[in-house]
Amino acid sequence: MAITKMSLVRISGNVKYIDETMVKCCEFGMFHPERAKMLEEYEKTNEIFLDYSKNTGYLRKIVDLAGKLGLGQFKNQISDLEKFSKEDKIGFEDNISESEIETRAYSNSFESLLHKCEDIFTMLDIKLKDINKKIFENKDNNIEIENIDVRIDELKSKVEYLLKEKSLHEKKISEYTSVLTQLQNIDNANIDFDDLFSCKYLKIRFGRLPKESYEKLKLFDSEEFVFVSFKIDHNYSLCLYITPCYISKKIDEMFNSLFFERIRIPVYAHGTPDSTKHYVKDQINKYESALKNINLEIKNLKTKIEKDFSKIYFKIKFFSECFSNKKYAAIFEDKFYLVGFIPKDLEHEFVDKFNNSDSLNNLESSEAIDVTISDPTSDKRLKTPVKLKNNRFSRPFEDFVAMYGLPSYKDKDPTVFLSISYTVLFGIMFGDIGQGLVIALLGYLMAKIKDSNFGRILTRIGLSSAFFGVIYGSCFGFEDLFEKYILGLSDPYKNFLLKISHKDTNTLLLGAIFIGVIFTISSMIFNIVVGIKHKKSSVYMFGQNGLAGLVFYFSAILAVVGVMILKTNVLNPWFITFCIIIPIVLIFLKEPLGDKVDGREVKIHDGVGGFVIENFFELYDVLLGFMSNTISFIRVGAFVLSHAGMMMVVMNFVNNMQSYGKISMLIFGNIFVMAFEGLIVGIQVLRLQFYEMFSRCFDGAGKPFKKI
Amino acid sequence: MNLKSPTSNVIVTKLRSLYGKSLDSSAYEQLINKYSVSGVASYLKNETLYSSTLESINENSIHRGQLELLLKISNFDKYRDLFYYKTNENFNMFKYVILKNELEQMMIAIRLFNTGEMKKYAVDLPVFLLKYTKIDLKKIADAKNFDDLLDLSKETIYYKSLKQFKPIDGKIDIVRCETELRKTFYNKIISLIDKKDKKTLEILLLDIEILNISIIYRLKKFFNKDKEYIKSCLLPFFYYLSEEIIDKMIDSKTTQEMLKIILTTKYKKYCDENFFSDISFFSKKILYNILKKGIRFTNSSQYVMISYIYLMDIELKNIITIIECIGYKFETKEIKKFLII
Repeated sequence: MAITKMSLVRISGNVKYIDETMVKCCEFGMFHPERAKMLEEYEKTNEIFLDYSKNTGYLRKIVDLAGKLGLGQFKNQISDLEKFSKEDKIGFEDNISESEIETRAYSNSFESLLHKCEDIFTMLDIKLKDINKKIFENKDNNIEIENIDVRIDELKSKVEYLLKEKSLHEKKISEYTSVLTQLQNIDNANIDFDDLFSCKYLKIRFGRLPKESYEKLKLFDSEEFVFVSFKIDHNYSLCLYITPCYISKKIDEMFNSLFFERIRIPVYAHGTPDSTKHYVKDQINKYESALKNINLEIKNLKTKIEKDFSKIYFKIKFFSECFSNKKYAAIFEDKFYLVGFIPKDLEHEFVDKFNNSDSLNNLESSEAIDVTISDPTSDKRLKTPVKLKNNRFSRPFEDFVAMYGLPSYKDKDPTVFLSISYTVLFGIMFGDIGQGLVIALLGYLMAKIKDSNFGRILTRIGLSSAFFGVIYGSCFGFEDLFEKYILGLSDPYKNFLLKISHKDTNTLLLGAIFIGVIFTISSMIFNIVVGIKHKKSSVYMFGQNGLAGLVFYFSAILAVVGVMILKTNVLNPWFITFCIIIPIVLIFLKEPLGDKVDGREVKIHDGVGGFVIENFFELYDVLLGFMSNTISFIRVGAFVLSHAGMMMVVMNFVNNMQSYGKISMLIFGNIFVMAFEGLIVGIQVLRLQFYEMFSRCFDGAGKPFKKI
Repeated sequence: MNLKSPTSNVIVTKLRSLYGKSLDSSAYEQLINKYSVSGVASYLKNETLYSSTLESINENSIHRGQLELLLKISNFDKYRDLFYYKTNENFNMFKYVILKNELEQMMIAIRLFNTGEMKKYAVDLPVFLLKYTKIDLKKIADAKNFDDLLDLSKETIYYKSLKQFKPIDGKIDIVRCETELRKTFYNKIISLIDKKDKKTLEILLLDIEILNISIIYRLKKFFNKDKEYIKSCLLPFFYYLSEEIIDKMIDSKTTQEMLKIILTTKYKKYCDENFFSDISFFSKKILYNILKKGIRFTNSSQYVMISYIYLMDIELKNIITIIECIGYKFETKEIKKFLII
């Protein structure tokens, strides 16, 4: 239940070493950068950098860096690598503009390589997620990066060639298949292509005619053509027409206006349609066999790329991401400035990373990299990012907290509170041993296979559901599982458990309100603790969720319980004055009283009239909120009943079915209830957390810690 | 059957639901971004309500004309499927559609008769209508003279109107003949609809009035006809415009003067200076804007039914426009200007 302590890091040094510095920060893996350019002290020009840039090839620095990172081959291939750096080829000329220099200084030569790699992945339909990212984390791997740009280009060309060949073969197969279909449509026509196409004075057209137009043909009886239909399907007639050459233009136009779609019989068609079919089939087989080989080659290449090339890809990606983070640095004169946050307990490790670096150590004093660590709040312009730190049980629930908003750096982390209350409430509302264990198992599998946080949450709430299932005696809809054991107990346990097991409405609803009261009071206490930490008396003392609100709420609950359940009237004048009226007055006056106690000047905005009216309505809303928030917890009990009700429906269906039907219905019913009700309960509990509890104690204004 | 009967509600709901599936602005956007007729055909085949009719087409080789014909058939099939929904005892959607189609076929026939190209009718013969019309459409192409044509219309409501226009020197007075045929059509429809439903009557009158404006404009601009002749070519129905204003429009010397008169009427909100540049486009746009709102907010079944037919015809017109513009390689922006959306 904590927020990781942070340290503010300022790094400055000669601009020559910005890339090395970025790589160190990225390798460290726990550096949250801030935009140094936005800070006033760095808002200067970058004139001096201009001089530096004129003399120093930018790419050379990257290559040096790669060499220092242990990529020996890379270091030795400067000339090859320079080829893929446009800016270095051009060089930083004398007449170059300042803005151009800055653009080049922030540029990322690995980006184009990365895009080429990604193009290759896209072409081969390789999912990037499938590649094991841990490859790069393994420091022992010896990744060949020699001639990498040439190798990537060669690989890309090869992939493009194979895909083009594949497409060509597929097109050929498609063409021949289409011809085959056409030949099959006319294979019952007793015709010889050689005879037909050897006619000197006749034109023969094969094709298909829409059914609509086929009907119209009868209106053209007087024209000189012979029409033969081979086959009529739903919308078309497969046919041929023969017309004398001298009139063929007119007849073609006529058929064209009737939307005749011509099918061209290929030049290789000889003899009957049947004999041509054999030739076409042979061609299809030939191309299919070639296509098979191409596909095999593509498959092998894909496997090779997935296995070997992905390592290179992640190396390039790492550099590209590192250098893209240079946007966070401010560069001017011959210096760069980088500002960010790191976890406080990793301070030494961070400093050592720079001290132990061969490339960054032993530099001349004018060029040395200076790493300064200070308190995170020392620069008021920077908002300290928040990194939650929780135990194993609560950690997955951090996602739910982040969904609402992270706590501020100085706040308390509500994750533990949320994780316990969420787990307990879900268990109460969805208590079933069998279904709970199934949910837990599903969650476990999701966490194991997909590394899903939601899966981990499911495991916890599933087990909670199973636990409460034991108390309810409920398993897959069988609701009286432990009744005989409960009957063996002595009072008052027997009585209480029987009421719960039999889903006694009053007990459940009153129990739900009791839970609501406990959670509401807990969240108010949480708010008081945070308020004290912030030293805001208007929050922890006079606020509706502070001490005044707590006294009022507790007293009101006590009075209601006394009058309605214990039949004892606690509402005497002293109780009413000190526990009801005074807290209400304090809440009403929380702003001026808070100002007074905290030593600030008391200010009443909009005059006394405005203050009274505004606070009166606010107070009304607060009092109504106490009531509605508490009653809102009735849903906890209501869902216990609804779960029992839904399973009762399922069991009714089961009882009305025979043999296998019973089992199928039982399985289907349980799956349905688990999915449908499980989802609703999950959402409702989250709603209770966010609306009834978080709204009392948590503002969610924190900034997330984003490491590079 | 009472207009507020459950059946009436069924038609309104059914037609609104069908209209909801018609092409919206994003669908038009997709269509105008296609570079070929086959692209348009493919989109209509896979993404729209036209898919059932276009199911078996080969979108890569389909002819533009065939696509248009199939879309017409698709709309006709939709209307035919709604045949059993009657808005009242006398009137149903399909009856309206058939009467309208018969009117169109008669007008096509007399135009071909005047140009002496009756044979051409065979090419454009709407085979899908054959089963439903009282005109033997197959024989129109073989009609040798006016009597043959008249004989073919004997079973229709248009017979008496056509009989009055015996050809003089082998030519029928087309403009007046068309007016007469249209008058017959609208009289018939107005006699069939429920008179208590003022909105439906209004929409028909508006349609007629826009047609009258268009006739006046064309006869003045292209044929330079005299006042009496123009008056005899108009349909005797009035809506926004009084007879006096119609007279003023006929008397106006230039089309600009005529536009000024229109701008003093209730049509002002629908018109701009380009009104006469494409009068049929603007008239359809006026109707489209009124009907688009009407089909959603009016509960009269016959109003919704007529609106649906008008709107679907406009949609068809839009698609045909897109196909033509793509054929002429118009820019996307240019195509949009021609669409009624």
